[in-house]
Amino acid sequence: MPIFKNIYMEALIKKLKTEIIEILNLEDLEIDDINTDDPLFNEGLGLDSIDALELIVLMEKEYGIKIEDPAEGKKIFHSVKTMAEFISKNQ
Amino acid sequence: MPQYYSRKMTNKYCITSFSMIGKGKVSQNGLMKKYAYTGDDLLYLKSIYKSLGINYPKFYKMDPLCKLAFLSGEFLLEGIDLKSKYDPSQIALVFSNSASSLFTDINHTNTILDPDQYFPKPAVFVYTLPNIMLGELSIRHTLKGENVFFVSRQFDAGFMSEYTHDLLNTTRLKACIVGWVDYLDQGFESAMFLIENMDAAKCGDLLSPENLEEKIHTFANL
Repeated sequence: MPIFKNIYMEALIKKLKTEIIEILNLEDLEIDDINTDDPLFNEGLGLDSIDALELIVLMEKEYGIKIEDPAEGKKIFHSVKTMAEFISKNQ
Repeated sequence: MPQYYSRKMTNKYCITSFSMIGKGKVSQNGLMKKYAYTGDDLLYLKSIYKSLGINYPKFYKMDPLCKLAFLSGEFLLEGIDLKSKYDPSQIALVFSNSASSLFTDINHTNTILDPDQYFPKPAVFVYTLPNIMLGELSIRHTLKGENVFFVSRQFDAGFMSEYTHDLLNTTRLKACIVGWVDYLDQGFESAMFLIENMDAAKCGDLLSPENLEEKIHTFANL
């Protein structure tokens, strides 16, 4: 039932954006400022290596997903969308 | 009397700028600025940051000690173009405080106390050293000279003055930021001084323990 999946993904993406803003102290950003497909690092939100570690902790603490392969992390944390897709598949 | 007080100093170094931050008040070279303090230290620091009208998102990621140092640095160096006068490697930082990074150390400890909720926060952990504030200031103002951090019960004006004299006299360093930046639950305070080699005729206040203390006492009593 794609409709349920779409609603779930939408809610998950919104939740992730809220968590990213809160955990990474991006106080000057609102949820709408983060484009779901935009890169989180470098030219996107400009996150750094410490932020990457925080995102790894977030995945484990909030979603029970442990990321141990750094190469895998690069793909998972490309954007909010890739994060949400990974959570949806692995939770 | 400690030995360093008794050594004779040849004074040619001048306090060319200073800033101080306390509850509800900020001093920029003696000019007092009032800020509303409602009892929340972090909100207070944030309100000062907002009032400066600068865009430096990293500020929000800093721990309170670094936020305090960052703001003090903004007031200290506003309108001063260090880059045009010195190579970045010629500007030193000599800092001290009494609580080290204890506030953040405790925050970090709280994230690892419960074995079932063992989630250390990397963004907190990276601030569990007091000299990280020197790094933040160095990044912000492109300072690449020697830096050192001391922990002492109180601001030791005699030691800080003599250490800075020795540093500037015996190395290729040309300027120095001397600072006392302290943050703990019980309170916070910050005082920073820019020290430069300057013609005595143009110098308002020479670097001396008396002048450092006098500026701090004046601010504290206001």
